[in-house]
Amino acid sequence: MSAGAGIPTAAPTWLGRSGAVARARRTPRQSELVIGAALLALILLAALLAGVLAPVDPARQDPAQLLAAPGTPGHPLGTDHLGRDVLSRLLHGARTDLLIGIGAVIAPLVIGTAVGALAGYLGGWVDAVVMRMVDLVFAFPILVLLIALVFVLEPGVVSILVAIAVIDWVAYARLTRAQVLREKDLDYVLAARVGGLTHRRILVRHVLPNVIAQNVVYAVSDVVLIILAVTTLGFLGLGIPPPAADWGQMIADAQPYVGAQWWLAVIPGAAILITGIALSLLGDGLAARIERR
Amino acid sequence: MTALRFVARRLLIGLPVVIGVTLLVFVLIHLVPGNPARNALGTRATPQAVAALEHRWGLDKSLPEQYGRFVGRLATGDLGTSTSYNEAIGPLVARRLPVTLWLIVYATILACLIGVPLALLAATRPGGWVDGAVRFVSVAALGLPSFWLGILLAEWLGVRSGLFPASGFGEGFAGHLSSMFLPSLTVALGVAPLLIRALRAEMLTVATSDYVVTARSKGLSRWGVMRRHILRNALVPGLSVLAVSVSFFVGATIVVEKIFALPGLGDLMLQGISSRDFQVVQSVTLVLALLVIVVNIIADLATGWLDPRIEVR
Repeated sequence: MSAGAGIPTAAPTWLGRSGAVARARRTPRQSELVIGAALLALILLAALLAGVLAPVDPARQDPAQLLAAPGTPGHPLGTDHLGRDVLSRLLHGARTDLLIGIGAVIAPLVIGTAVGALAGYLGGWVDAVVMRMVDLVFAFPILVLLIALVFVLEPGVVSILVAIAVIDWVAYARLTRAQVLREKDLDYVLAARVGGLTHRRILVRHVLPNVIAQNVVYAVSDVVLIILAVTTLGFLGLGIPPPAADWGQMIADAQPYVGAQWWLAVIPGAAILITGIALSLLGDGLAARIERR
Repeated sequence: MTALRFVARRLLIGLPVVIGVTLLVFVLIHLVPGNPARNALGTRATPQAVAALEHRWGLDKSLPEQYGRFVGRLATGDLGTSTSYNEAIGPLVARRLPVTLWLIVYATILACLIGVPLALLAATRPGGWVDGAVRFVSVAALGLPSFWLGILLAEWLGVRSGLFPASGFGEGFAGHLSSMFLPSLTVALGVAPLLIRALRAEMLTVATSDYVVTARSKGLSRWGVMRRHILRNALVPGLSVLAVSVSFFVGATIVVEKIFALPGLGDLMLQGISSRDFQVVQSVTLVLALLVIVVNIIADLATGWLDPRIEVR
């Protein structure tokens, strides 16, 4: 997605000052990369240290302190309708959602890359079958399929991971196939074949290292989509079952109180938004780097 | 290629996907752990009752035979019977379809009203501050949770300011127009960033092409070139972004219908989930998937009509 969004190489000088396009092309992408990486590192750190940083147990209910405002002693971000500490839930939610977001991208990345590489390299009926499956999943409204799959598999972490893998591998398969198709007729592959190397060796040792970077970059942006999907499932009541804290569930809990205690909904939503920005900036910055290479 | 052949080929390409979708939805119900008949009747049902329901649903037949029956029923428009609503699912879906269609069409229009001017503004001066701002907002909005945005819009533009209704479908055309504004805006804001990114990139690509440079060198104004040449050529890719986004639109309707209490298909699906009515969930999944396919076919046909250079592969 980000590949087509960049500024085209030939600068449309007639549009404005001649240097502007070249500057726009060069500078922001570098700062994007740095800002995105730094922001993500902070969020990851907070998630990993949730157990240490969180003031109290995220599931502990305090009936004496229901819907306390931010700034209440002992509850810097206030408490929710059950008297649970919002800051603790936010930190533990970061752990849950980032862990699932990053964890869930691994299976689609590995499966999709492998299947896509085979399809592109072998061609023929393997390619035809794989591409029809890819078309099929792409034809589906993704969230609808995800909801249906998680529902029939019974909500839980494993179902969510399986459902995401079933749906998301197609993106990597399509990406990898297109790249392998391009690479396989290049001189170095032909040279390797003339040199008598096996197909397996050529694919794994020569072609894959050249296509994997693009997939990893895509995976970074993909984590945003997965976190959105997982929090959406949480909001719909199909997410990770309690007592685990999840940002989507936090927003769902906050919905009835959005009039008077608006921060209960705003805080976890802002957390999702900022995490998304960090990952998108990082992904865009990395994509720009690869393009330049 | 004549227009009729173009249409026929596009429909033929869609056929395997439709078959695949029915197959996938059929398999879906078989992923449910346990016996569907027992699930529907509850744990205290007698074995005779379970066996009777199994027979009525054809669960005692082989899988290919069951699939054949499933497709046969679909072909006559029979989506089965809901166990929770105790009525045929077909009419149930038909009653709720207009709400979801309203939402999708309205959101598409709003997404264009938001996306096209912003993309145009950003592409007129690439690298300028407007471009920077639009780009940052569109990157940030990629990670914007629709359900969160919907809740906040409902509260701030709906309940608190009273500008728009915060729930329900409304009465009559004007009523729908006002009641559906906030839900549609929520969906539109989710798609707008993608639209802006694609349109902006496309406009810049067109801007570097020879004929635009020629038009410019002939003395046409910047705005004239933008309107006459660039916008027009960016329209086709814009349309394809919208077509691809239909999948997102449809997904977002589920969330938005819940927030704004709209009696659409997404709401029906969630009702089906909470009452563990597998038939309803299966049927809605199928209908929404078919909806996406139909919209994509229409978009492809419209693209072919707008840009005669395009042929079906």
